[in-house]
Amino acid sequence: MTCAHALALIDVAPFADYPQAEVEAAWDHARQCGACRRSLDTAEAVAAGLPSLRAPAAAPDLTTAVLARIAEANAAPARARQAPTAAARTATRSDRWWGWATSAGVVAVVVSAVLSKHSVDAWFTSVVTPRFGWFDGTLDAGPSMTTPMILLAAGLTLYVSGLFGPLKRPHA
Amino acid sequence: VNAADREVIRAVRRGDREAFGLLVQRYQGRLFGLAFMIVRDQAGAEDVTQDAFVRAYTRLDHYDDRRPFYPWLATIAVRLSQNRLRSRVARREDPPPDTTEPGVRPVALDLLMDDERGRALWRAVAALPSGERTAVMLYYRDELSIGDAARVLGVTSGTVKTLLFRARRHLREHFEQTAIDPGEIRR
Repeated sequence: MTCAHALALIDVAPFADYPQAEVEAAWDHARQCGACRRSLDTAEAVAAGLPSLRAPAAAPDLTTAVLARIAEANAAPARARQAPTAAARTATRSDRWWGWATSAGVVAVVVSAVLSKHSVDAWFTSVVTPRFGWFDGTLDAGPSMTTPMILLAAGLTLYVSGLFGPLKRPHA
Repeated sequence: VNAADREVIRAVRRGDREAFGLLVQRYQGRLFGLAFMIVRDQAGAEDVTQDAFVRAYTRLDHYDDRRPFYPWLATIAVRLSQNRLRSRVARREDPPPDTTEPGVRPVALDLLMDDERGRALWRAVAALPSGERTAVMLYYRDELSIGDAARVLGVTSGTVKTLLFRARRHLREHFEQTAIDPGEIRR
């Protein structure tokens, strides 16, 4: 057995399943060989010293620092639940306005439809029927359709703005 | 599983935050030593230790209390330490000058170690490649089994055995080259 082989076996033996006889032969060689003797002493010293390896001491206030950080970590989600950020508040307010705009648009369109129906009915009732008894396709001056049309345009504008307005907001 | 740890963890899960301080006191020395050995600078090791405890606290629900607590905690610390090393490499920072080379006088280490004994071995272990020194800390100093050390490192048991074998060979060769008396190592 060579010195290198014997020392390699001694190093690896604790972590490998080598035949006991081979490991003992390595130890015998190392004990009797002058060249290996010091290496063997060093290997034994390392093996003996490692389990009692001393570590540097941690900072004395480490426990306090950790508990303070844990308290912070606990407080952060609670704060977030209690008080929304300025950006979140602005976003909420903005969303509310867009919601109102959509609703107002729907109301305006409905009102416009009702008014226009009334206008057309009134026009037939007041202009066409008394004059001809029937409608010949010629429109005469009657109740104005301007208001329903303005309301319809405004309502559609509000509705579309309310739907697509929030999409323009940049994400945080 | 350490019964005392289990009791403390149950108390923390019931909402007793202060009880976690007992775990911090119990394991801070071991964890700081492990982190210090991986990142090799005091400030970094303190940051890692704090981060590991805070993360353990916030993720305590993920801890399986049928297993020992320390290996789980050490896994977090090893991951954080490795992340720190990686970000140090990404920022192209030089490693801390102390304890990197066996011949360099480790100023911070001298201040941190409370006595002369064990410094030679500590310096030699600190000069090992990262995987070897972490495996040495987990297996020898923290007395984890090969299997637990493998889980902490995220490798196989065979890899841990190889790391330990190489570490012992490197340490032996280092002490032979520096002609340090074996008695100095053993103390």
